[in-house]
Amino acid sequence: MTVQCELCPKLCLIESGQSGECRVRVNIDGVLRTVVYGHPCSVHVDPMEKKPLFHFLPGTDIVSIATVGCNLHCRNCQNWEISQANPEDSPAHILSPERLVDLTIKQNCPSLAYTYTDPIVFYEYTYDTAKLARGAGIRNVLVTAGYINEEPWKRLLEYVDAANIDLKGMTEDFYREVCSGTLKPVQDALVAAKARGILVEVTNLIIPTLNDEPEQIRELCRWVKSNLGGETPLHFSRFFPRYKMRHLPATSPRTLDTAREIAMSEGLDYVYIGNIQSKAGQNTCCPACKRLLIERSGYTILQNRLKEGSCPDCGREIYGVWK
Amino acid sequence: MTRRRFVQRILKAGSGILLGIVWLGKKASPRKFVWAKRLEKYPGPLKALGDVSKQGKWSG
Repeated sequence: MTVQCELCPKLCLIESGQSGECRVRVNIDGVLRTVVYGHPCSVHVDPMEKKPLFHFLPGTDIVSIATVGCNLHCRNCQNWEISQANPEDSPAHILSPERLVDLTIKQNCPSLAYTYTDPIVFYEYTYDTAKLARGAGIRNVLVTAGYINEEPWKRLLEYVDAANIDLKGMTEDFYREVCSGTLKPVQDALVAAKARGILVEVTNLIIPTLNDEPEQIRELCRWVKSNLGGETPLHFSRFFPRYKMRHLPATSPRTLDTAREIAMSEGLDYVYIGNIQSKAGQNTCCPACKRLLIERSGYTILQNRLKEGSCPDCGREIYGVWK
Repeated sequence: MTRRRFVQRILKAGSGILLGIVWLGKKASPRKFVWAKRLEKYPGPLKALGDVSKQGKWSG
C-alpha cells in the first residue's frame, strides 16, 4: 500500500519498500517509518558561533548532531556527503534521545543543535530529544532550511529555543532549480518561528551569478525586515564550489561587503559575513550608538561588553538570548 | 419523462454534487501530520561513538 509522508511540502507518495526524496523516511508494509531515529552519523561539540548563531549564548559550546538525509538537494551543498547519502551506505552511531541528553550534560553544554544535514528529515528523533532536553534544562537549536509543513513545524517549535534558518534566495525559480524546493514554505516557516518567540537568525549563501545581484539582495533584506523585523540577525555566507556547483567561483569578498552594506541601508540592525575572515562583518555593534558590543575572530569571542543584554554605553536592549 | 425518471435524475445529479463537495472538502482541509514509526534496525553499518568533544568537520 502506498503511504504519503506529510512532513514536508514534497508530500512524497511512497510505494511499499521505497523511501521518500529524503531517503530516510520509508514505507515498510504500508507503514511510514524513519530509519535514522537514534542513529546520528555525526556527533560533535562545536562553538555556538559555528552554527552560526551570534545572538544566542555567545561563547558557549553546543553538542551538534545529524543523521544522513535531506529533503532538499541543493546543487551547492557543502555537506552533500551526508545530506545526499543513503543510510544503507553510511555508518551511524546508536544514540537514543536519553543517551544524547546525558551526553550533552556530561559535555557541560547548555544546548543541543540539530544541524549539518536538516533536522526536518529526522523529525521524530529531533522532537523526542528536544522534549527530553527541555525537561533537563538544555536549550534546543535548529539549523535548517525550514522546508516543512505547518503542523509538524508548529509542534516542533514548542521545544525549540533558537534557529538559524536558511533563506537561500528570493524566487521560486531559484529554489526549484538550485534546491529542488519551493520558496513559500520556507518564508512561512521563518515567520512562524519568529511569531512563536524563538530566537531566529537567517543565513543567505551568496552564489556568484545565481543570487548575487544587488537588487536580489535588497529584496531579501526588505522581506526580512518587513516579515521578521529589523532586529533579526542576517548572515551572508560565502559560497565555495562544491558538489554539483564546482564550475562557479567562490563569492568575492567585495560582493559580501556590498551585501552587508545593502542590508544595513535597508534597516537591518545586525548583519554578518560568514565563511570568510572579516573584521567588521563578524562583530556586533549597537544599532543605536554604533559602539562595539561583541568582538569576534572566527568562532572565538574576543570581548563581550553586553550588560544584561543591553548596550553598556547607551542602554539599548540587544535582540538575543544572552544567558 | 416519467415522474420516477425525473426523480432518479435529480437524485443522481444531487449525489454527484455531494461527492464533489466531499472531495473538495477533503482536499481543502488541513493535512493531518502522521508520525513516522521508528525502525529498530538501522539499515547501514554501525560505528562506535568516538571522541565527541572535537569540533565537527561539517558546515553548520
